[in-house]
Amino acid sequence: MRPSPLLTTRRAAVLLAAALATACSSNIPHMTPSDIPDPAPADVESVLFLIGDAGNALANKDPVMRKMQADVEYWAGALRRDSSVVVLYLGDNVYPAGVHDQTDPEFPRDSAIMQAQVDIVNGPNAVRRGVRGIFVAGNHDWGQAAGLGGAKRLQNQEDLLNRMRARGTPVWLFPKAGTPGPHVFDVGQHLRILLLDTAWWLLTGQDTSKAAVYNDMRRAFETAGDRNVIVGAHHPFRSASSHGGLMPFWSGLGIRYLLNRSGAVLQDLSSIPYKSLTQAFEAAFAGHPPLLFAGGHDHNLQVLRGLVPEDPQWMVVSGAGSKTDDLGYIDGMQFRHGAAGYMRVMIHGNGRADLFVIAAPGDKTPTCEQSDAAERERCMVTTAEQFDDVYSVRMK
Amino acid sequence: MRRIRTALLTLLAVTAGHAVSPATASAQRSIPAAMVGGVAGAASGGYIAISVIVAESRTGKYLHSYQDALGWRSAPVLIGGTGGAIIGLTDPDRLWRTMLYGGAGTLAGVGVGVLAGQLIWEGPEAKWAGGAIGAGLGMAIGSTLGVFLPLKDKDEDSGQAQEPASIPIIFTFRF
Repeated sequence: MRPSPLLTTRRAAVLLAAALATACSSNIPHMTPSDIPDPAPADVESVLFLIGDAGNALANKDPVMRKMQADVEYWAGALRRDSSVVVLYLGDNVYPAGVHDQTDPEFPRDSAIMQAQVDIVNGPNAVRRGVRGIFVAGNHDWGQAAGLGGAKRLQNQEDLLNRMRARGTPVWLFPKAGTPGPHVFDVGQHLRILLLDTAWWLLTGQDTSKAAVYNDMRRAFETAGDRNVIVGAHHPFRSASSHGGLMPFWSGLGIRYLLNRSGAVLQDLSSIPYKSLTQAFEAAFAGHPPLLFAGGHDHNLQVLRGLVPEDPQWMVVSGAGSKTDDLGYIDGMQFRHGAAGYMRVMIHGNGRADLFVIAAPGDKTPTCEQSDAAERERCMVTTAEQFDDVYSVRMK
Repeated sequence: MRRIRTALLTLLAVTAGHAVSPATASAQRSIPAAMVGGVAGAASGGYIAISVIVAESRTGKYLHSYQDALGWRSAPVLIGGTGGAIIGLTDPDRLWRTMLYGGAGTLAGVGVGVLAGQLIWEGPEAKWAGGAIGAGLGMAIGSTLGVFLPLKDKDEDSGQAQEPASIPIIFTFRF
């Protein structure tokens, strides 16, 4: 989407503000923002959208959904090829505890939240060009519970998506409910996507099944050839936010800080199961590091570079679909932003790969809560227009 | 007759005043102590709750989110807060001693726990986990001793008039 001169000025202001903010902080090194122009559609082979933790967003009050749908519509129409655009929902698709049973009073709300995300791939261009919406499970989609209760919540989500697909919208839950993956599929000539249910790994995974996941991942990397490999999962590989232990000591009276440092919270990167997850992935990546590991889980937008050969070359946290959290800094960080938004990976016909970060103005999750429908719609339109590309980088 | 009645009422009022004034002073001293005890007890309970959570995580039973800490695991906060307030209200000296012993136990527990954690487990979380568990354990032991050990001055002199502390020195003069 070609930015208007006004948006270009605003983008420059955002980049300048980000540069100043990071440069002025005593312990955060200067992060050089890059600014790659949107490629011409003729040069683009496929587009992958990344949004996570959108489980609180509703179609008629969260402008991030509106903005993303417009972006998907633009690229679906511009590419003029079928099945070249994929929207990847990076887990925690329904807060607080996944999709309840159809007889449960919570089901209508859960269903509305899923519908808001499914609508992103329901526009006319998206339907005509076969844009796929693929949901990955997060810990909240498991109802934060191991065992049968959690598996049932995830099965409910898959059943709901199956019903929506039966009505004509191409949406799936991958890996399938209760299975760890990897689910592997190729898009065009230059993109391979591996999807993993990392919540399964943390909540219910048995060692023998984990070994099988590892072997399947190795095989998928080894057979990728010249394709850019992107791994999509809910849990990020690194994070400079609360799940990564980057939080002020006094937030939560120091309790959160102590529990995180002690590795007592399963969903934090410091817990033993989470560490075993990243260690297993590092082993699987050895010799074939993926171009990008995309996760959500923390509620902000982060772009990080790999530091050692076992790391993915790039890592992103795109978990700002409906919530925002504080951010810190870790080595390898290239960009961070605390507002609602999403990311877009552009794979060029020559195999080049660009990453764009699109975010709301300010540093929060804007919502339109007006009771009057016309006013709310006006708010949705104007706020969605204020979203902008706040960062871009050539990954390859 | 009226003079006698007035004199009696005056005597009653003065006697009542004397009887009530020490209790009022005691109450004035006890209410802040109860508040301090409530806060300190809740904080101590919080520390103990954290150590229980961390100890559970080391056996493979994790919190799924920070909100999970608000369930039954936060019971020590309520128990500590209530217990601290009651001790502060009824026996402020015991409260100060409990806080002192609890603090000392915490410090000792952190030191021992950090060392033990690094010996038992691996990774940067080991010392934090050991320290957190040790702190809670030390806090619990210290506070328990502070509450239940007899207070020398109080218990030995109970029922007697309070006197300034003194060391009896006896001189013998032989003539």
